[in-house]
Amino acid sequence: MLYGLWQDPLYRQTALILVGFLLTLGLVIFLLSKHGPLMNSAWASLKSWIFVIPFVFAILALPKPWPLVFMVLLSLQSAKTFFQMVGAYHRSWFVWTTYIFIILQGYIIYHPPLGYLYDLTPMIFLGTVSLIPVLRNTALHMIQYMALSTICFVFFGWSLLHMARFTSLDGGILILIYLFMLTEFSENVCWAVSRTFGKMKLFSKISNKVTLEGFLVSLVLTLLLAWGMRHLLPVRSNKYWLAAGLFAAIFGRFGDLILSVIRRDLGIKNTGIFIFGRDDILARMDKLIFVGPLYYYLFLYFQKG
Amino acid sequence: MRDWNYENDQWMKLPGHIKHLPLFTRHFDLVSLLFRCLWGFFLKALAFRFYVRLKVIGDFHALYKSQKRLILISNHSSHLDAVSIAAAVPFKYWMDLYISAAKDYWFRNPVFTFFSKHCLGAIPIDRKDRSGEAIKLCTSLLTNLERIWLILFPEGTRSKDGFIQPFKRGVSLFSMKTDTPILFLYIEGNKDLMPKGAFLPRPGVLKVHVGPVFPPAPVDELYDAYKAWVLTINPNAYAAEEATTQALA
Repeated sequence: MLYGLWQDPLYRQTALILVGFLLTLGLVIFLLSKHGPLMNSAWASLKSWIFVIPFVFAILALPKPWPLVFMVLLSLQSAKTFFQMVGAYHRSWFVWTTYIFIILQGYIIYHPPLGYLYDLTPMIFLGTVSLIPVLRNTALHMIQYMALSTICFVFFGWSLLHMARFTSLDGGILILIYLFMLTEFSENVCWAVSRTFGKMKLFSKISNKVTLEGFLVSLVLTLLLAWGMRHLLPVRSNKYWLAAGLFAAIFGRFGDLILSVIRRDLGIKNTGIFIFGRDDILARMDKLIFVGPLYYYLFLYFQKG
Repeated sequence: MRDWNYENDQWMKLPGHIKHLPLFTRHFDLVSLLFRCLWGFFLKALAFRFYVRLKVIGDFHALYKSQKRLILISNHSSHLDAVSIAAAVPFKYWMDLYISAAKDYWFRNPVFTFFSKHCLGAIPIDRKDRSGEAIKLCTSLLTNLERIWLILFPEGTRSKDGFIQPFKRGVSLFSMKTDTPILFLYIEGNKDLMPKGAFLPRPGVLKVHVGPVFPPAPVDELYDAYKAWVLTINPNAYAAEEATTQALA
């Protein structure tokens, strides 16, 4: 018996196509993985998705509010990893405050009449974390922890949870999947082309993964994919898929680069592995910290228009 | 301008299987706390109350007040031993309780590793490692933590016949190097409930005897003192010739 979104043929077909595609690609890359570092690296990246994607589809198909709960948990896990990375995880007051605000954001999304509070929460958060040193009567390193907590909340709470806001729109789960696929695809194409053919590094002091060639190829291919999968959007007008493709290719890279800046400053490559594959959870979520809010507001703007 | 101080060594430098140990930062992960609570409830309120009926002979509360750092040693003939001691220690002291556990068993796969890290707070001891990594790990914790109760099994491995074997020198080494006193414990009934090779324990009565606190000492001295104490509880704890030698002495 089918439950939730599994009853929607579009959702079922998308899930089957994607899982089938990943399995086929995975098999090919696995067989080629012994033939060089590039394929080996591609296999390391892909294998986590082969395990994760069916699980993600199963969760997102659940009735409300479970997809939202899932996104809030992802957001909390990202915040935890960020705090560990910047060495603030043992500052429990800041960590707990951030967690509470992320959960609060989730509740605001769940309860639409409170929606007007969503964009106010970064301000309220800043006010709250500023009070922590006062309440604890301590000053040492407090600017650092207040700033890091705010960055953490804005990126992995407020910003990332815009993806969860799509879940309250009609057909929102499919938009979420659409954006997620575009950003992942865009990053992997940019990385693969940059590594294989890339010459002109655009941000050599921040990331070796972004070259002009890689960026341009990923832009074109992401737009093609956005066009090819536009049936996932509730409105098939050109501006919707065009904006999604452009945002995923351009602002997805910015999210990636912002995290690279933080990692480089800290001297860290990654904080562990996410499920079985390459990189940590932040490397999976960083692409969405700009794409999520920007596309959400543009989508609302288009809808009003 | 002064640089920011990123205190991330705990999470960025340590390998996954020892990230839970407070080697750089005294901090309890929420996941650890949650699973420790769940495990504590299961162990104390269910498993060691109704299935294995645990009796603790001695007072851990008084010891906790007087001894901030201790090495808890016990006889070892079953996988039940470490959890029996944990079940005997009051839950409120659990966050200061660490168990040295064989890496090749307790950290053999991701499920066991998760359980050992978050439920037991285990310190992985690689029995094949000759570089002294385990010694460094235990010494570092015993030196740097203000409060720590470390459970060690000085026989090194589980006894096949249930009789107590001679001690390895590791326990004395840790104790003398870090000036940590040793608490004697004796588990009675462990071999009958879960002998070596058994997959699950049998229901029954298990007694944990809390003994005296012994100052840091060479291994022979420690072994003799422990043996003398255990023989007052169970004259059959040692193999026949061992017990006779002790009685004659």
